[in-house]
Amino acid sequence: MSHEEDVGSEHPAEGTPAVVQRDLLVRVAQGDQRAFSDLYDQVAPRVFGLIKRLLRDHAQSEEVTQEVFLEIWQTASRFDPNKGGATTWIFTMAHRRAVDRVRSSQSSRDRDTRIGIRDHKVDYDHVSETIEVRIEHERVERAMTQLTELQRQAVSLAYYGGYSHSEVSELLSVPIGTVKTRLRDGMIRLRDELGVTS
Amino acid sequence: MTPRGADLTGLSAAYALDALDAADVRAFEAHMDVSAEARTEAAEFADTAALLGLAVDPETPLATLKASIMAQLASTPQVEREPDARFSGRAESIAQARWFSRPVRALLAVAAAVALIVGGGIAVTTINATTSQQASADRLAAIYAASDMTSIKTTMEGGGEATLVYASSLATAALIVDGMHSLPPDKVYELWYINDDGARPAGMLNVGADGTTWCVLEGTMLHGDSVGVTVEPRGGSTTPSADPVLMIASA
Repeated sequence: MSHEEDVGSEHPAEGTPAVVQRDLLVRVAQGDQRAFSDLYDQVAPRVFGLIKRLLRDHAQSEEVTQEVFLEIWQTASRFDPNKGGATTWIFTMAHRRAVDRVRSSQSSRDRDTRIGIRDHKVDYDHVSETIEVRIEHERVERAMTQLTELQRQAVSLAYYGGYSHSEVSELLSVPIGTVKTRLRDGMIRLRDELGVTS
Repeated sequence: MTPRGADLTGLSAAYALDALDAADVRAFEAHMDVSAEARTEAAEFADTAALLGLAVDPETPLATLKASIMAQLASTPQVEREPDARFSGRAESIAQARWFSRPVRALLAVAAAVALIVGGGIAVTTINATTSQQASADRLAAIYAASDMTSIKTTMEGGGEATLVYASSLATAALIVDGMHSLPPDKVYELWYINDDGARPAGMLNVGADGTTWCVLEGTMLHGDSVGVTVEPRGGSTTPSADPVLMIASA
């Protein structure tokens, strides 16, 4: 490509965030810093929001966000559009990095004290900035109501709390096998409610 | 215990939620290589988890963060496209990129892996890590990441534990010991690959004051080799001069 254009306006029919992010990632893989900058602007608030949700600490969240974006830059060539969406690729990386950090000795020390006072549900009451985000909120909120209380607890502790299944087992005082079952049943129901198909 | 077979498919949700410990992650990723069902379910759950992530309130980080990241791009090398399609887009390839592109991180990962194997207690000092230690860490990481990694744990005479980890696909082995006696300064522990043809020297094992260490063996591991350790005069020997104090047969 000899010149750079806004991907969104170049392909208005395909201008959904997922498609835009996919195209940007493909360009990032070719070393395109402008595309990386655009991709950052698109996803950084959500990536940072998720990471901060898990870590709480602002400075650590910025560190991990930086790690994630440098990893996106480094490994963009391994993103395969045929095998999954760009959004999933980025959020999988962000969540994993945040969980790595949350489990490191430094942050784990105060986790037990946090558990009692933390709300592991999505902050639904917060006024969201964009209609798009609000729609995601509502979709997930609605899907979450289809889970049993125990499934919801297990999924929330794992995803939003960053707890391992053995930690979830201790926190909920149920056998680890039960946690696995709840996580799986909960995720199956969420998947179906959210209309995810491969 | 690491679950097997059908039980592994049941880990797909916990995998997508990053709720598995390292051993289960490896077991599940190996399972995905052979199970289309597990791959499909993991992909669907990854999409589902991403939607959970998208539902979190966004927060725009400070502009300085972007500036800092952009400033690092020029000096941050990008990895080549993964030639083996099996790995592309997979968490495994991400893990590999992490392990091999960042030596200090690899060392930390290895320290975690080693701690996992011996049950804690081994400290790897990253700040003072030498280049050779980092190279060893990379090699241990490679063994650990290999799909055919095998781990054999044994109890040593006089207490302590030794674990042999190896990957036939890499012809490389590493030994991790915990609770090994320290030696007087004129003696060393020497490592050997041993088979019916005899013993081939495989480097020295430097045991710290706390009796713990790990070491990637030198040379090539042949199929069916056992790994032995003998006490030798300082500087080592070309053939073992005493009975092994430790001997582990590969599977």
